[in-house]
Amino acid sequence: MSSLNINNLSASIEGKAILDNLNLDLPAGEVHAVMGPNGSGKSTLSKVLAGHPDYEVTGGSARLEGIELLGLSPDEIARMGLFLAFQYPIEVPGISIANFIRAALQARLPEGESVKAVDYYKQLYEKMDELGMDRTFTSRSLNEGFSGGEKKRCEILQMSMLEPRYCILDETDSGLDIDALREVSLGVNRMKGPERGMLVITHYQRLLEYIVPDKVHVMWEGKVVLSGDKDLALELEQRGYDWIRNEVAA
Amino acid sequence: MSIPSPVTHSESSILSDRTFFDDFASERSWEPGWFADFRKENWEKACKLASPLRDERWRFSQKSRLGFSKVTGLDSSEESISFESSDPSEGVCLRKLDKVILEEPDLLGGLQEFSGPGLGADESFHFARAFFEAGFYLKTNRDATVKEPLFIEHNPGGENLARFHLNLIELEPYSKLTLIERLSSSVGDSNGFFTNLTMIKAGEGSRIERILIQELNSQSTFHNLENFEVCADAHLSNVAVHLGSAQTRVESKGCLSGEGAEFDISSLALGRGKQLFDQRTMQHHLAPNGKSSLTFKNALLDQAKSVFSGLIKVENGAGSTNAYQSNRNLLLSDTAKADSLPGLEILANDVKCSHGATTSKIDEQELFYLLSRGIPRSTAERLIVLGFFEEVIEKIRIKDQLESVRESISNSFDT
Repeated sequence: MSSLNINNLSASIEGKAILDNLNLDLPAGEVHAVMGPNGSGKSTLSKVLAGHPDYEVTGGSARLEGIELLGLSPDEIARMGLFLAFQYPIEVPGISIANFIRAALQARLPEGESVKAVDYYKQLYEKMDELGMDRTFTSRSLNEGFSGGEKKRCEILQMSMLEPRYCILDETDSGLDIDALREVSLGVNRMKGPERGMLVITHYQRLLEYIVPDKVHVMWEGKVVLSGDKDLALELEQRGYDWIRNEVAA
Repeated sequence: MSIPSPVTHSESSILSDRTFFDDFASERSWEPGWFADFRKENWEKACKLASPLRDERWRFSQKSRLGFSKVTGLDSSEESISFESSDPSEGVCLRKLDKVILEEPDLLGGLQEFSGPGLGADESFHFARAFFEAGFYLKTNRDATVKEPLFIEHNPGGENLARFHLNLIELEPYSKLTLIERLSSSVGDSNGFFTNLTMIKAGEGSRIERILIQELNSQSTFHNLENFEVCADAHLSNVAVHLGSAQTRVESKGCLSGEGAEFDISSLALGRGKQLFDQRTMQHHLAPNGKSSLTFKNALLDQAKSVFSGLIKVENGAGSTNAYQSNRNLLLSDTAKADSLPGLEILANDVKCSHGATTSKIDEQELFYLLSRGIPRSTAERLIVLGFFEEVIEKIRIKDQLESVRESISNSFDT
């Protein structure tokens, strides 16, 4: 079966271990949430999967449709079909959103083929309309001077244009007001499908009212310590992360 | 006891050989007498130049790479400068310099008044004035507005040959002009020496936008010397794009001589291999209420090197000056190098001057962000460099030129 399989993944940054034998299976067609307190390793998990060079993988594997991701370069991982929506999207001066997404699409085409401008802009404008983004955004520098909500919409826009097989959304709810949260969630929900797996990383249950997960995993000190259905998120919200601390200790 | 001499003489060049100069002069004996005197006077000055061991004006440069010692002769091709029409529009006169010398030498009467940028490249300045055979003369009449941009091509070339272009541009008061100059070698891989000496006088209330695109071949030695005079309420904008040459010395000086003058100068240079870009600038404020702005950006790969040395000088009497200077360097390899020497000299009160210089490597977080979208590293670097240059590129307000500059930058990553 198609899936993203993470087995006994361990990783560190600057010698400090963050992920500790983490296991998680995300089948295509499902939405899984990863919750956990600050410092539990949620963001590290997303960056390690995307191939961030600051992190060192010290053990385990992560397979996308059976192919090992670990050790590949970030661009190779992305072209295999993994997309990371950043918690803090990077500002890149001088590169317009339109040119950026176009370069990303171009990178997925066989040599000799190129993105057709007319079709490209048609699709881009459609997706922007869906996300409630003004069309003048296309010529603005990537994320430069964007509000928190604009940055997150821009991430979802990229995701919907690139149509990845697996999406990781790293704290996409952070910095969003309720309206932006709703719009962004709608954008994510539009991308759900039988062929696509989604991993929604969040600190709060709030986002999961909009993006309803098939499964919820709770991270603690670099590993998944508890998994359950969507009600687990509610329980966490009510009982707080201290509850997990006690569970883990027990 | 002998005292070591504080000066050295640069490696001798055939250009300083008396017989060589005399032969050149005798071939041009048809020129007016004052012309011959002008050439000789400049040739003698070039030959007498001493180069001190420590010359601030060449600090951090590799002066030996920018000399004329390998020159074996002059490129006297008549094709080294071209443009479509000599009277491109009403109220504007555009001539090849050799034609002017032959037919209307008196138009060049003001030649002696023009000084060079004087920022260190005295040898090439004087050689240019001694040996120039081509270039252009451009003058707009008072109130003339030249609607379409003028295009001028410089195509120097020839193995080990030196070529000197002298360009005189004069805008009469309240005239307007856009000028695009493209520089490319006439021969693909020749080791040519090209010196382009340009003097622009923007008369009162006039407006000029000049764009210079340099794509000389990778063996060329290039001296680009510019002296701009901006009169009262005139506006002069100069954008330079440097992609070619093996080594380039740029000297750009803007004199804001009249009240309310505006001078805007920007440059981008993309260095690869062992390319050297040595840039010296001066924003010289002589009158009140002047405004000048300088943005020089260099992106360097491989073992490329840039030197930027810029001075804002505000004379006593140039009150309420507003001057800005920025040099930003982006290093894409560990062996690329950029030196930056910003400077301020302020003799007036009530001025607003700022300068900044930064040299940085490619931002790893930016790079990761681009890679994480599936963009390969080489493309990502290209996009980051284009983004870095965008601030300068967007000053080119002629769409097809702007696109072609972007494309040239982009293409130079493929070779």
